[in-house]
Amino acid sequence: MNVVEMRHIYKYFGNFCANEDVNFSLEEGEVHALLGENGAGKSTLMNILYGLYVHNEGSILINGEEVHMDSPSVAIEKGIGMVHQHFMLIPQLTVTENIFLGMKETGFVLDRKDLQRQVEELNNRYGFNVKPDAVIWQVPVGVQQKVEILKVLMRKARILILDEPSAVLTPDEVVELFNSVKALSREGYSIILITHKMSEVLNYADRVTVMRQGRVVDTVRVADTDENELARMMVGRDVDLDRKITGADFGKALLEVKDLTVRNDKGLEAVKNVSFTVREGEIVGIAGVDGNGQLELGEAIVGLRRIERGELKLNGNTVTAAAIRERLDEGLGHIPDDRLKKGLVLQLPIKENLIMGMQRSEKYAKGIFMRRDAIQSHAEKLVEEFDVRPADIEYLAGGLSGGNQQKVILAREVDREPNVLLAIQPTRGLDIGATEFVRNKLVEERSRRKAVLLISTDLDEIISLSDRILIIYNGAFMGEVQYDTPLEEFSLLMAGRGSKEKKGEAV
Amino acid sequence: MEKLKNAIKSIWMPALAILAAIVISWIVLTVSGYDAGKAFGALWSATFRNMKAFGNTLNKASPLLFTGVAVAVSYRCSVFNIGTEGQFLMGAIAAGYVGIYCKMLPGPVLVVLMFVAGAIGGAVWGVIPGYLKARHGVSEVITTIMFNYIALQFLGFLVRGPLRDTSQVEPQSFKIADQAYLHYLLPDTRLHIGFFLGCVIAVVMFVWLFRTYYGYEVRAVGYNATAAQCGGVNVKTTMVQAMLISGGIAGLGGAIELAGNAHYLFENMSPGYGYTAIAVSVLAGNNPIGVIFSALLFGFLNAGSTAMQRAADVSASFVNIFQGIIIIFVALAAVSKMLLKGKGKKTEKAAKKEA
Repeated sequence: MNVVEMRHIYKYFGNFCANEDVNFSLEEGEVHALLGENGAGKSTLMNILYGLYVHNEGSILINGEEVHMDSPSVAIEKGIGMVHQHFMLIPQLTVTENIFLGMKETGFVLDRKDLQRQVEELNNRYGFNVKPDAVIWQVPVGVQQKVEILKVLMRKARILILDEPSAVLTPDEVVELFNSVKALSREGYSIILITHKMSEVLNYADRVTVMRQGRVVDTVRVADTDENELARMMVGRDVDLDRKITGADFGKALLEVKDLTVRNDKGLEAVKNVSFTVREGEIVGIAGVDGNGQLELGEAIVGLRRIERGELKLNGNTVTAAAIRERLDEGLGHIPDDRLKKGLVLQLPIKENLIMGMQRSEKYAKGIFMRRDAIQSHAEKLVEEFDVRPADIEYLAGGLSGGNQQKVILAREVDREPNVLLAIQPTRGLDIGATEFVRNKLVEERSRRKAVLLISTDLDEIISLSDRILIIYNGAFMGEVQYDTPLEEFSLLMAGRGSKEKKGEAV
Repeated sequence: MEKLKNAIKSIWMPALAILAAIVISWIVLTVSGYDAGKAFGALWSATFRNMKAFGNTLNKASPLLFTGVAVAVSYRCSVFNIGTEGQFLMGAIAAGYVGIYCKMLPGPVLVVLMFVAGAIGGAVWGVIPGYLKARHGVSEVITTIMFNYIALQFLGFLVRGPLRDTSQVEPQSFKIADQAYLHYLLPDTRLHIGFFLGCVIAVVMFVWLFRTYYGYEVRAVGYNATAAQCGGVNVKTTMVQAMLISGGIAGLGGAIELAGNAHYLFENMSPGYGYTAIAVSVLAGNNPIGVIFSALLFGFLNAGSTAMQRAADVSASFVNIFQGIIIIFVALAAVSKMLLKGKGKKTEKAAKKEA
């Protein structure tokens, strides 16, 4: 039986149609993935189901009965619960207190023992393993998410909407989360999973509805489809994330790192005596599990972090202690790991973000005054070339989707014609179309004879883009490998159990 | 057309706040048994009665204009300069020394010298907290407040000690040289050049903030220092610069108040101009040009407070309440805008534009 049926849903924001003739159904006890790129209308649809938005046309049936869904309280009453991407928990309260917060059933005087017992009961039933008396701010993000799910379950929801639940979790936590999700579905809960990650769909969902530009492309059984087909449905064309690196014609060394040692925020050595070079026309990938010194290495090269010992050369010139300004002038381009914090000023428009780092160059400034015409035409050119949407250069960077924000950064850094391009986690959090775009641009830079250093925890990315791969573990290189090295060897090296002799001195 | 639209967009919020404040004050006055019409009439005529009154209002707005622009500049860089009060006073003190001790200089030279001294005095008082924040991470909120007290006590010491004019009953300094008095611009008024100089400074700072790369860097640092740093901006220098300029403008305001209005130093020279400046700047959305208008509004209210008391027997402090209501509404509008933005990030407008 269909517990949810949404028929011919239309939703307009002004003239823009966010959902157009959308049909969606959820069977009892299934895990139904809602797949699509950022801005495809998934969240809009689910916000309609949860009563946060009211649709303009169409009807919603819950358990076969038409419902006028105009507020979340109606949805909750009908047994629908939503777990948002951003948690709504009070950090200073305990797990139990958060779960029962706002529930009238507890009565005026709280019987803590009884409430904790109720939490334990749910806990045991679904293997959630959450301590009821733990204080929220002290528990990891993965546990906080489980608390959000428990909150929904405690309110007797039978239909769960999970909005990109894996976005903030570590890989282990993701596996744990989805095990719980499967357990719930076996108990007869019906689950909608909003995501843009295909692996989650293929591994954990029963059916999948793919959305693109506000419309449903198709709903299929996961067993009857594969990654390529889903990607095609999502993007509307074939997506090619395969390796496109061909030929090897390396020139002189543009980035030289010698015996580099860098400390982390705690004052411990995070990068230890590391040496490597990146040459013209080469992409060097640095792979490793997150937290093994990649961040510190990147920051040291950019100039955000002091170099303790060793030498750093850009374009043949020593810049070990140089200010960031000088490094930029020496031809360093930087795609940072955290685009919101390091890459963009969200409150400034696209056009002003596109000159960050070049604000004093003669191209964009005459004396101390900014050349507004030059900035304008520069922005118009790049927005067009990199297909930034909206193509409105006055639009604030903070209003852009993650993929478009990354395009703005990429456009800026590439347009500066750097000799060395340092790309750190360049596709983290991006949907598949944007990922393809970013990767192709990096390959393009390689063919334009730039030196590209790619630091990423995404092994697929490293493998598909690198001429050479260095594996970092605990601040030192475990060795250099090629893209066709067997995966088992990668895992061994990334876990620090390599057989390689030349620690920290791959060339 | 686009520009006009933007201008209207930035004005509706403070305009609405003022309107709401008028309505609420009207109700409060009426309910409390006062004649609201009479009170507001008096408030209005206190400024617009004649040229003399109007000049008086401009004079009252002048110090607020300087301190307001000073606050706006520092806030744009996310440096919360609560210390324009102290910088204003230090500016007045520095100018006072020049005005009192350089009597041999001709008028124009002396006035310019006083302005320069005032700007330097304020700038020094601003740059110290700025440096402490940039170099050692000391919160500028704490240091600038402390510096206000130091400046105030220093002024108190001067007018009771070294600079005291003993021919006066109350503690006050000697008068500055006669030729250093700012000329009155219109006959029958005491209107001096201060307000107009302030307008020039406001326009210059607007251009500096929005048309030069220094201003661009200041704004970038204010919104996101790390991103600015990645863009090659020296964040620490930028912050110190912002405090230097901010303090300098406030100090210049102090010098002008001394030369144009007070003519001698005394402890209550500033009835909190530096603190009111925060409200003035917030009302203007930290836009230097907007500060001109909000300083005028506050000058208008201050000028009318006693008139209201005389006409309708409403306490002069009522004007403070009125100002408070305006600020609450502006803050309310700002907060609700922020909330809407946070929530609406992915909603209507964004979704529309993304497509």
